[in-house]
Amino acid sequence: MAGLLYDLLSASANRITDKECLVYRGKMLTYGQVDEHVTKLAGLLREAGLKPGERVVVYLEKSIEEVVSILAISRCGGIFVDTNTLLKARQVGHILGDCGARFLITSYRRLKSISSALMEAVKLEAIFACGSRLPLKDVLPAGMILIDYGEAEKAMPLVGPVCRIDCDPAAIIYTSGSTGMPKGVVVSHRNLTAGAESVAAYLHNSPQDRILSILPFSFDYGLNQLTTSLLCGATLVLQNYLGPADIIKALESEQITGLAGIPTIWSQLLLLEWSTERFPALRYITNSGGRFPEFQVREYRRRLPRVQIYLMYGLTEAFRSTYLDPRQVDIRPTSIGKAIPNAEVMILNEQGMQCAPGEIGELVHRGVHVSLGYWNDREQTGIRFRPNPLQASEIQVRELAAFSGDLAKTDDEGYLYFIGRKDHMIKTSGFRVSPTEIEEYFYSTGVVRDAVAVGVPDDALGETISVVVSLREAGSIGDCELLSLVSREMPSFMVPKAIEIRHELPKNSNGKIDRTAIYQDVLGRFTSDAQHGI
Amino acid sequence: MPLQDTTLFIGKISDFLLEEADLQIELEGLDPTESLISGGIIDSIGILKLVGFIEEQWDVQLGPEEISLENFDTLNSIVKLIQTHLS
Repeated sequence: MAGLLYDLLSASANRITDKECLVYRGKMLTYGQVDEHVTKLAGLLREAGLKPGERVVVYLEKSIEEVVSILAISRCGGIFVDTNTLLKARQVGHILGDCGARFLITSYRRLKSISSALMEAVKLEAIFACGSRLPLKDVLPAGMILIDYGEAEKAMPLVGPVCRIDCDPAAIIYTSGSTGMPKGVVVSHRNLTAGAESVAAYLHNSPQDRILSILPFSFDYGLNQLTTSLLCGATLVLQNYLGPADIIKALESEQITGLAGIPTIWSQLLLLEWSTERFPALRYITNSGGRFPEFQVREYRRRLPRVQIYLMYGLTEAFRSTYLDPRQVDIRPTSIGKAIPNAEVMILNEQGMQCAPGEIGELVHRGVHVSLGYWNDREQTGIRFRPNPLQASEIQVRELAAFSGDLAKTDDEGYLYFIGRKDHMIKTSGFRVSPTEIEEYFYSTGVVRDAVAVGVPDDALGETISVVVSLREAGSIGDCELLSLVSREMPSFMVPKAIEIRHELPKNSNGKIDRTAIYQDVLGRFTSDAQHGI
Repeated sequence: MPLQDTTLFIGKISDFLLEEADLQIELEGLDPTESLISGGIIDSIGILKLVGFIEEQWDVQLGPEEISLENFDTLNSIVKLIQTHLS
């Protein structure tokens, strides 16, 4: 029985020691070898003082070291905080400070790039660095301990049980909340293992599967390829990619059976010519992280007639939520399907009552995947995690459900359809981005008086970001100059596609910025452009 | 291609990377065989900007099949790609 995340690995390592577990740049490690690396790194982390419940930030590109780090932290009973490498010093600094990490695992190169962030990390004591060594004099704050990752090879493997159970936190996944800087969603070991069990059940994963991992492990959907692969004893092929050619090459040369992608990837892949004959092993593809446009679904059905297409939906707060049975894809290509095994997904109205088919309400997820709330943020947790209003009143311990903030409806047969957000959150390249977080970057330039960020629908990215601003001093800066100023600080997926400088932004009767008027204006122009075929 | 040309190409690309592509770190002491992507020196969006620069600077057209790790992993591989187009 898998209690902790690490148990997914150890169970498979005991059962199928010599089976291929990970492949990275042509290097293969068996389950037994991965387990050996993990227990040694766990030994090194323990020697350095890692205690159960403590946070370790992992800031590494997709690599064997990244997987080993995640599992070794879990082996020690620690909480891993995998951090997207697209994030820059400022965001990494926020995460290090917010989760109060004592340890960081990264590479020498990346450590140099985020050195300014280390000042914010007040609790950080030791850094494990891998890759080629670089001189880091003057980069590290005084007293910071630097340990070479390679020391793990000499460490004593960690043996014996760790004092943790499955409802303890395993990971913190940072995601944009509706206000301010990213919030950490606290995920338990049970959330992760139950998520793996549910998803592997409907994808029918087996040890014969070779799953391509191109999505970051800092993304719940990306992490799921790792957990399902370990659970089933499948092979996970780790692949960093720049363009669609890298993915096509990996699908072909590694004989991939399962590919998980997001809408941006699907539209990039269609830029190249290929047909199903090149991927005889490919059994399924899955989409999540945004809408898979209907015309693309049909194109994939045409190009890959024997491959099953799974349209999925999930929110980090409840790990994974729904999927559409591939047999339904031709019938309802715009549906996100039904709840995954062992979850219930309800559409509730403002009064907390179940909506009738066709009626739009909030998507609410209940079950074992519902996470442990936002790290150290009672207020936001209280908004998203609330008692299930449909639970029998005789039951005295109230069950918490995840209120997604997403609007959805069902058809007469209970299939779900995503409609939009209750708030104005933006979904771009698979990332959930809060308008206020983007606006903060504009305010911090010191030249902007008011700023409003808007998501504009886009087939390739889901949405692109437009920002409307007014300046403190008219004419003090141009739009290109302002864009270059903010983009230095932001992760690239957050950089706006368009900036519009106005003399003044519309205000409502309370003197607050009238966001609705700006949204209507920007989106109205988009709709009229689209109608005119621009 | 003479060595001198290669150095010139690397110089132009490095200048662009330093000024335009939102580099994560300084290029000081960067080995032309060092991995730009896995080293976290430049991300995928920075590469897209670099592609635009290369197309304009050397008047070449790069297809989506050429935007790959193999072609953009190091300064040397980028120069090789440009030279293939020019020859």
